[in-house]
Amino acid sequence: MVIYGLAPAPFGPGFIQFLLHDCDLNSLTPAFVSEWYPELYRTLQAWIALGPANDDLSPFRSHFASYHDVDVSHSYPLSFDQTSAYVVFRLLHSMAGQPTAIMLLVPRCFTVQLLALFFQHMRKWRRSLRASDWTPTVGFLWCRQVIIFCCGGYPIQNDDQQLRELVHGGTEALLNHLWTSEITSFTNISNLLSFSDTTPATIRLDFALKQVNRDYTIQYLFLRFLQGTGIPSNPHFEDATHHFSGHVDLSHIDKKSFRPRIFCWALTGSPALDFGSSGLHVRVFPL
Amino acid sequence: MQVCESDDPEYVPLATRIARAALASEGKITFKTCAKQAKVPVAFIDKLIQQPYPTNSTPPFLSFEQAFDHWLLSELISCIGAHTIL
Repeated sequence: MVIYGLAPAPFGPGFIQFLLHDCDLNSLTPAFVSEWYPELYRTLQAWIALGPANDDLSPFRSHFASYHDVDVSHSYPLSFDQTSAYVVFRLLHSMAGQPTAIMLLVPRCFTVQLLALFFQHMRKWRRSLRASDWTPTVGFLWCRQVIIFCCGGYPIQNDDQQLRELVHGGTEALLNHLWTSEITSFTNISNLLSFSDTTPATIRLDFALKQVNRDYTIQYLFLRFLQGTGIPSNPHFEDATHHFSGHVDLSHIDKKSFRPRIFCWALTGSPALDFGSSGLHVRVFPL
Repeated sequence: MQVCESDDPEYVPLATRIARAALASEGKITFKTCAKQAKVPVAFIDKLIQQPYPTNSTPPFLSFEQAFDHWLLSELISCIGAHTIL
């Protein structure tokens, strides 16, 4: 997905920056963190200010509860059995010298749900590897493997040097490009849509539409559709789903990004905007 | 995205005239992703406007807006298939 200029969801820009720099934690500079994760940056400043001698993590209770599904209200250290949460905890411990980096990675990439995904893919590749074999070092190596897997098997690990050099402005320019091209709502494409002048066919169609509602035009209906969410008619949609390819994740159908994204995807073949060319330019006009 | 007549030769270009008319009556949209272009048969939107609501179908569409949104949503999703970079 990175190669195709798409934001590789569910991974965040911090994780991609980390991978593109050979898992070098120094690539996650304070400036980078403050730009991409301003709220986390403030948390990290507080974390660093806490110092290693202070074992009271209660100020971070809401952060750990929200991002790590871990309760740190009890005395430190915490006790976990060998679960995904335990792995998160070990990673956090092992990288105590690099709190900035590891806390950046953990909330975006090492959520318990995603770790479950990691283990699922791990088992597919190396059935002999047990969850108990997971160490921080193995974890990071597997992260690289997993993202390669998630990128459709493209061997990023062999070409990341080339990829870095290909992008003018370095990896941060690449990340800016990736996440700017992502469609998260109608506002991302609203400025790129244009509608041509009226013709006899549109006048005829718009006249018919005004019999339904005097505000309606074909342009209005398209814009209204793109700004809407959800399934218009459940029974009809259920009947239609067996015609769908499976590429589209229908679980996001209630999100405001869904319709603009599939509109762009259907029209251009890509679910993200292509700012490398002249940009997406959609017209609604009759012949 | 262009609203076109059912006999537009660029609407489903490889289809016969009869097949083209049949596809248009079903509201099939032709997508040309290379040209970032789509052709929408105007006849189908006309049909959606003219039919009574609730429709006689089972289950019925309750309004024109519901029918229009369902049609466009289904067409967009169903065309995202073989020609995708993901």
